[in-house]
Amino acid sequence: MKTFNPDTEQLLKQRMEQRYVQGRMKEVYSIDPETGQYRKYTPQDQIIEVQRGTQKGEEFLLSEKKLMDELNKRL
Amino acid sequence: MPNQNKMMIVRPKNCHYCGNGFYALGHVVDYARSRGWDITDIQAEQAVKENIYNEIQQDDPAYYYSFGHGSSCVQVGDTEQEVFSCGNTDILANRTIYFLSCLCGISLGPDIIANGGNAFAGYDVEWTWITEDGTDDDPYNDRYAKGMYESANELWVAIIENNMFQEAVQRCVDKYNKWIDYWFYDNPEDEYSQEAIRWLAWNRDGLVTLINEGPCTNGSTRCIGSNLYTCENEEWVVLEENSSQCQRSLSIAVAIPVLLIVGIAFIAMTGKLKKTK
Repeated sequence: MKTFNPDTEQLLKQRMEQRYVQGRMKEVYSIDPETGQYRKYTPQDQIIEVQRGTQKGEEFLLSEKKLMDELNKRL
Repeated sequence: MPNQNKMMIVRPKNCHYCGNGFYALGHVVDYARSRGWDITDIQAEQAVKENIYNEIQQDDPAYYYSFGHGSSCVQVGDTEQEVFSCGNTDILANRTIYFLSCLCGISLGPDIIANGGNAFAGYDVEWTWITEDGTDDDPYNDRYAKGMYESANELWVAIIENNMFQEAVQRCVDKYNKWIDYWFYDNPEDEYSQEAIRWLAWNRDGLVTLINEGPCTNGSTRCIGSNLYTCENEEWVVLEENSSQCQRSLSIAVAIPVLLIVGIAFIAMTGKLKKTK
C-alpha cells in the first residue's frame, strides 16, 4: 500500500536522488523488514529500494518526509 | 517483588553491526555505577538467553535495559538467537524495561505489559543509524553515531537519575530533538547533516512507551498499544490485533479534553457577553 499521494512521493524521490547525486547521502545500518536480515544499505541501495517500491523503499521515503518536516519546522 | 536497587544491562557485541551498541551501553553501565546503582552488566558472549534468564532469576532486578536485534515479536542476543519472544515474557513481570531494538514495540512490548511488566519502552520502527567510521567502535567517538546512541541512552540515563518513567521518555525525545537542532543550527554545512536529522527524527518518532495500568480481572478487556487484550484465567491474551476499538479509545482520549476546553471557552465567552450587555 502506498503511503503518499503521487505528488508527494515524486517530491520525496527527487529530494533523495538530489542528495544521492550530490554525494550527501550516507549508508545506513538497519534490517530488511521483508526478510528480517540485518544489513547495510548504501546510498545506491536506498535509491534502488525506493525505485522498486519495496516496503523498505517506502520507509526510506517516510524518513525523507520526516527530514523535510524537521527542516520546515526550523525555517 | 524485584529489587528496586538492582539494574540489569545487556549488551551483545558479536551480532551483526552490534559493536556500536555494545560500547554505547557501556557508557550507561559506567554512569549507573558512578551513581551508586547495583548493576549486572551482561556483555558480549554472555548475552544469551540461558545466561540472561539465570541472572534475572538470581538478581531479580527491577530495571532492565538491553540492546540487540529485534523484530515485532522477538529480541535476540549475542548469537542472534532468541532471548525474548511473544508469549515468553513472564520473567519480565513487575520490571521496568527498555529495548534498544528494531520493531519490538509493535508486539513484544505489549506482550511484556500483558504479562505483568511495569513499563516498557522500545521502538516500532527499524532503529536506524549512520556512522563516520563503521559499527565496531564506541559511537560516542563517532561524529554521526554519537547523537543517535546518546539520544537512545538518554531514557536510561534519566531512569538512573531517578526520573519517573514518563519523564525519562520525554528526556529521550528531547535529546533526539537537541541533536536535530545541533545538525540544523550548528552544523548545517556538514555534508551529512541532513542524513543525521533524517534518522534522528525517524528513531524519535518510532519510540513506543507502554505502562501497566492494573491487574487482570477475568473477562475484562483493555488496549495495549493498538491491540485489544482480554483477561482469561488471569492472563492478558490478544483478542484482536490492530483493533479499531483501541483506535477509538485514543480518539476519545483526545476528544474529551478538546470538548472540555471548547465547553469552558464557550461558557467563558457567554459570561463575558452577558457582562458586556
